Order: sequence, then C-alpha cells, then structure tokens
Amino acid sequence: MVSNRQTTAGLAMAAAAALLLGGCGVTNSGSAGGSTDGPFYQGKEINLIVPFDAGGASDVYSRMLAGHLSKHLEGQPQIIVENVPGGAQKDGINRFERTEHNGLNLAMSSGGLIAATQFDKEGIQFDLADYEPLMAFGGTMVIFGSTQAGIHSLEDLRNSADPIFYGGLELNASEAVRAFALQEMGLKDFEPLMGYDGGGAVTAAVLRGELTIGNSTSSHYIENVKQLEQDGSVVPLMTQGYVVGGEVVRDPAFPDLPTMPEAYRMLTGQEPQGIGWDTYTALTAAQTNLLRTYWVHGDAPEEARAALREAVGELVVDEQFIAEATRLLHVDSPPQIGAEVAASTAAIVDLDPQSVTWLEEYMARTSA
Amino acid sequence: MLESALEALQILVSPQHVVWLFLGVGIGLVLGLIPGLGGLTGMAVLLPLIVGLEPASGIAMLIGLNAATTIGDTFPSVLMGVPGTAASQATVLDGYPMARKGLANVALGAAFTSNMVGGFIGGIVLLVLIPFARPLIVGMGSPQLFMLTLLGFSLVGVLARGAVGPAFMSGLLGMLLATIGSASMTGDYRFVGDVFYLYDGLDLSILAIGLFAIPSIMSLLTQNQSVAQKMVHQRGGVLRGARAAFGHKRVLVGNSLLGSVLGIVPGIGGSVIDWITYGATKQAVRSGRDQFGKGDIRGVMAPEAANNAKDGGVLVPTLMFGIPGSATAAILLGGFATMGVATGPSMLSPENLYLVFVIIWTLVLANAIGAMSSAALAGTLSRISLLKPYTYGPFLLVIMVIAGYQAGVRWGDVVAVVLIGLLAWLMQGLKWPRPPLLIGFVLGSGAENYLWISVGRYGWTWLTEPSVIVIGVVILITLTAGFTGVFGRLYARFAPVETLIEPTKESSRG
Repeated sequence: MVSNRQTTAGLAMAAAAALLLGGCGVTNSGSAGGSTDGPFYQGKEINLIVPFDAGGASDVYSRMLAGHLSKHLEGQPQIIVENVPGGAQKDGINRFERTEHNGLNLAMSSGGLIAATQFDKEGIQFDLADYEPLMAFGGTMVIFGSTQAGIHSLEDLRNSADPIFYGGLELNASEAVRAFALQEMGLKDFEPLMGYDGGGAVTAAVLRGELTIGNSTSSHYIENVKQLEQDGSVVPLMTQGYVVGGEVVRDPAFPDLPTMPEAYRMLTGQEPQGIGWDTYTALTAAQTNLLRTYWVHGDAPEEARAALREAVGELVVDEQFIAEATRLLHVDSPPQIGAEVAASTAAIVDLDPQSVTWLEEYMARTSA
Repeated sequence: MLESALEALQILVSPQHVVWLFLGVGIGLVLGLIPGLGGLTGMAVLLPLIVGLEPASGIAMLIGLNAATTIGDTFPSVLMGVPGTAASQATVLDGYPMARKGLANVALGAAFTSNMVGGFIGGIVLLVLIPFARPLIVGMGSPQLFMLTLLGFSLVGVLARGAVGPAFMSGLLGMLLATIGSASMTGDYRFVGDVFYLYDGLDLSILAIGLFAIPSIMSLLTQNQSVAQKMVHQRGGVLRGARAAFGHKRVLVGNSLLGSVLGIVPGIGGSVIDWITYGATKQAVRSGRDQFGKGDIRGVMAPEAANNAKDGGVLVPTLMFGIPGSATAAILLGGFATMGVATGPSMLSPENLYLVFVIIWTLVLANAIGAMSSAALAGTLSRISLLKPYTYGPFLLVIMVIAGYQAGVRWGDVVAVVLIGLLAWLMQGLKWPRPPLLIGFVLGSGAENYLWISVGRYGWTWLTEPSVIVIGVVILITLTAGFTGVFGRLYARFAPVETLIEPTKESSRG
C-alpha cells in the first residue's frame, strides 16, 4: 500500500505542474487600485487582450511591445498579456467590450477583425467606432510566382498560355480584393483556389507548380520563402502595398516590387479606378496598415487616454523598441499613431455601403 | 561532416546546453502525461523563454520537449485508456487491454523501447533524407494528399474487427463533425446555427477527451474496480516489455521508417500517422491478426515507434524549405527565427551544418533520456492500474476538463466535452466503435479541402495520374480486406500454426 500512496503523490505532483502550466494562459483582468494622486497609472496593472494563441507572431510581438509601453507610461504600470484566441478574434474583442472601460484594459486586433466588422458580422458584440486606436503596426502581403509553372516575371503572368491558379488559405474579404486585383490584370483563365492548410502548404504548392502564384505575409516571406528565390524556385512579383493619404504605395521592405495597382497599370496600361479598386484600397488600409492595432475604450477616462497617447508617441520613436521589433518581424513595420491610424480605421469603419455590397457579391461569385 | 557531427555533440553535452535539454524533456514528459495537454501547449508556453538563448540551447529545449511529450503520453493511454495526446490515440487500442490483463508494465516497457528506437530512426532519416526531400515534397500535390487521406480513412475497415458497417458509419459521422464551422474554400459557415462557439469548429483535443477519456473514467468509476486485478510481473515487467519489443524487429523498424517518411509530407499530422501505422501493421503481420485490439504488444509498438520517428521526418521540410510539417513545427520555426537561425537550403552550408547535427543529436538524446526516465517511472506508475478508480478518477476528470478549457479558454469547451461524452456513451451502448469517428474527424477537413483544390486545379484529369491510381489500388485492396477479411482467412490457412500462438505466448509467459 505504501507504493500506492507514492503513486498518488506522484500524480498529485504532475497535476500541480499541469495547473501551473495551465495557469500561464489565464490571467486576471486588470484590477483598479492605487492612489488618486500622482500619475494615473501609478501602481496599477493593465490587462492587454490578444485575440491569438500564445506563441504566435501576434502574441510574441504584443508581449515585446507591452514591456516597452510600460516603460514609457508615466507610473510604469505592469502590462499583462491575456490570450483569448478563437472565433476569428471576435471572442477576444467581445471580451474586451465586456471588461471595465476604465483605461486599465487594452486590446490588440489584426486587420482581419477590422474587415470582419463589415463583411463577417456574425458574433460581433462591439462597435469599433466606440474604441480609440492608439497605434498600429503594418505589414504587407507579397505575391510570388512559381518558376515551375513558367513564371519568371510580371510579364510572364500576362503572356502565360496556361491558366493562372492563385492559392490562399481562406476566402475572406482581404483575400477577395487580392483575387480581384489579379483578375483585373487580364490573366488568362484566372482561378483562385482557397483551402490550403497554412502558409507552408501554399509555398509547397507553388514549388511544385500546382499554383502559378501564391501569397505570404511579408515577414513570413523574408523568413521562410525568400531563400527559395536563390535557387530559382520562386520569384517575387508584387506586394499589396500600404495606403498613405488614400494612395497605395510600395512597401519600404520591398522597394523594388510594384504594388498591385502599379502592376495593373504596367500590364494593362489603364488606370486602376472604379468601385473595385476603391474597395481594394479600403481593405488594404485595414489589412496592411492595421496588421496589428492596439485599442483602448473610447469612453475610458480622458486622463488614461492622454497618458497612453503620450506614451505611444514616445514608443514609436524609441530606437531600442524599433530594433527589437525589426528583429522579431524581420521587416521594418511602419508604425502609425494619432490622426494617421484614425484615418486607416475610418477607411473601413466608414466604408461606403456600395463597396460592402460589391465585395459581398464578388465573393459569392468567386466561391460559386 | 563527421567533424560537424562531433562538434555538435560536444556543444550539446556541455553543461550549459544539456541543462536546457533536460528541462525540455522534463516538461515534455509531464505535458504528455496529462491528457489534454500536449507539445503545442508546451512550445507556446516556452517560446517566450528562448528569446536571448543560444541557438543550441533553445533547439535542445524545444525539440527535447516535443520528443518527450510523445513518450509521456503513453502512460495515460495504457494505464487508463485515456489518450495522453492526439498522437497516442491508437496506443489505447492494445495498450489498455494489456493493462487490464495486468501487463501494464510490459506494455509500457515495449512502448518506451519503441519510442526510443523510433526517435533514433527518425533522427537518422532526417540526416539521410535532407538532400532528397525536395522530390518528395514537390511530388505530393493536392490530388496525392487527397488520396492519402482516403487511404487513411479506408483503414477504418481494417480496424473494425468484423463490424465494418458501424465502423464506417462512425467514421462518416466524424467527417460530418469536421465540417462544422467556417469552410475555408468559400468562407461560408456550416452547421453552426446561432451558436457562436461552433463558428471555429470542434477542437480535436476536446473531441478526444469527450470521446475516450470521459467514458473510460466514468466506467472505471461506476464499476469501481481497479483496471487490473493483479500484476502478472511484479518485477522486471518493463524489461520484459523491452525484450519483447526487440523480438518484433520488423514491426519496430518498419513503423519507425513509415512514421518518419509520412512525417515529411506536410499536411499529415501525428494523429493521422498514428492510425495509419496501426492499421498498416495489423494488415501486414503474418499471424495473430485477431489479437489486435485485445492486447497485442505489436499494436502498442506500431503507433509508439511511429509517433516518435515522425518528429525527425517533420523537420525535413521545416528545416529545408521553411515549410512547417505540423502545428508544432510552425511554432518551432518561429522559435528558430527568434534565435536568428535562418532555415532553408543554407542550413546545409558548412557554417550552419552543426545546427542540423545539434537537432539530430537532440532527437537522439531526448528520446533516450525521455524513454529511460519513463521506464524508470513505469514500474511505480503502472501500479495505478491496481488502484481503486475513486482514488484518482475524480481528480483526473477535473484535470482533463481544465486542460481542455485552457486550450481555448472558452466555456463552450466544457459543454462540448460533456455532450461528446454523452455521444460516446450512446455509441458504446450501440456497440459502434469510437476510433473511426476520430479518424474521420482528423481526415475530414483535409480530404474536403484537397478534393476541392484538386478538382479546381486539374478538373478530373488528376484521377489519371499514375501515383493517384497506385494509391487508389492500395485503397481498394484495403477496403476489400476490411469487408471480407479474405487475407486473414488466407493467412490462417497457409501460415504455420505455431506462429499463431505467439501473441498469447507473450501474455502467458510468466
């Protein structure tokens, strides 16, 4: 019987370890407290909701950012990251809505969530117009071609005698505007194929020529795909670009690659205009300008929001932060604050209803 | 080459690196031991820690952890019939019956031996196949991947042990459950009603806990009898298991090779490899096929060898092309990037070659350390099978529900576990086998997506590709075998009688 007891003790220890590990994912919401004098955040704790799994790129980035933001906030509050994955980020931001609007709760989201407020509203229990975007960090998409499928340059896409297959993970609003842009370039028998199981599967399909063109986020591209350029397996063709002042401009990380509107101009000789391209620009603002956006409740105490704005202003010029961010993402991710980030979010929040209908119809046609 | 290999070993066994290896292996064993937690959780939790570590230390910790989870997960699979991670589901089929016969320590001994050999072979495959990886990755298009998922599904018939109809119904039900949630091809939501929880689809670990763990613990509790009445081998059972494992060299080596080669193909995860190797072994053995599912030691060895061997295979596309072969490999890639290790063809350049060897040595050492420390614990822990379930059952239930809940931190998970547990109870009552449901679920979304892409890309011409036809013929043979049991009868007729007794000899030898 002694050995039985030992076994139970062993089990108990294992369980304790499990609880400890499990506990890492669950943290308490930011609790109010501290004195009324001095800086607002003196002795307080901020809870930052990240709607992604622990360990993913958004999580790692947010944890790094939390450390630096804390340093710049007067009173140096502790910032705790809480991962609330699931529901295509809606779970996390719904939770953010339910937390106290007291300035001690912040949230992160990607452009996908911002687009979802227009195109995939099911399950959304919040209104982005009620939130103040504090800062956003961009990241673009790179479109690359398969040399196995005979693509060595942008012109090859137009001159190809074979149908053009473009692959991605899931047909959503931001994927749809890329498919639209490519289709507009007059590619022969253009066919979007969605449902690949991750970025790696897309790269593999491009390698074997199953896909003529694929896409990848710019940091994934630099980290994982670029090496395949060297042995001539893939060729970078264009980027989705950033939106500055309503215009789509090149990604500073890929100064030699044209944006999709530029590629359209080069291949067709026409100016990109009309409701389709307007929608492309609006969605690009959401997808690439707002790749990682950090929010505070719009009705949080003005004192808290002022302190956050000031800290964010210092943060984006902090060289130590920029160096660490660049090391993590492998690309210089242009930060936006103040009016700039507000303009980017407005592009989606105030999107013309005609654009919404147009894109919904385009997606229905594509998936039919 | 040899110089790099020795240099890497030297780096790895130096005190400042080996500490991280032990840490990774230790955490991995505990994570594997607890049903519902797995390598993915561990990697995610440890990833922030590796910032600033030297590459060799970080690699040792992450890969050590990953290898060790698939060793630790054997304990609950064998001792309680509860899969420790998704990659040890098939181990339950024969491991748990062995425990019921009082052979828990033998089963564990055989399993850990298989883990260790599988890990070694996986490491060697990684070394040998790196230069040849490209044709394999490029050769596997969506049509081939679709056919492979069908091949996996056809093994349902092999696993069925007679009741082929209910088995396929159960498998199809699993495929149906896999369609819940957002369809990535079109962006539509299917079968979600107004339940927001379902928008993401069901989670595999939740399904596995509800399907196997809950009913298993419940029936243990209601009968309140220990899993086994007595240990057949009070002492030396583990060693006996190890010796028995080496007696089945072909099962051991064959499944290790199969596991590592399947691991190379992106899109086939550990839970699929597990079932494929189990089914293939049952199909390929010459004798005693009807012992599978009743406590055949080979049924424990096959999935255990394969799920450690696959770790080596998965790393081939991950290291060579930056193409993660699995979800854990994807996190590993992120970890490499954080430490400034660039993956890709440049890994084979002379200045980086030592890192490849660090990885291979880590696989070998982690599997050896993990298997040996597990074997050391096996004697004590296997006595759990003698305990009355009320001493550990309620506690285990709580742990599993918490583990399931922490995966997504959603209350819906808890509800889903209970509902799936009820479904499992119903299936038990109807005598519908449950493993096919899990197989159908695991393969469902892959089968659907790859079929969609294949038809969209190639029309119907892909059906005439030679490789597709070859896999198709294998599927037909497997299905025929499953429905008619014709091969079993042939073997029974022609195989020498003495080999038929072998598995029973195993269980009565002492």
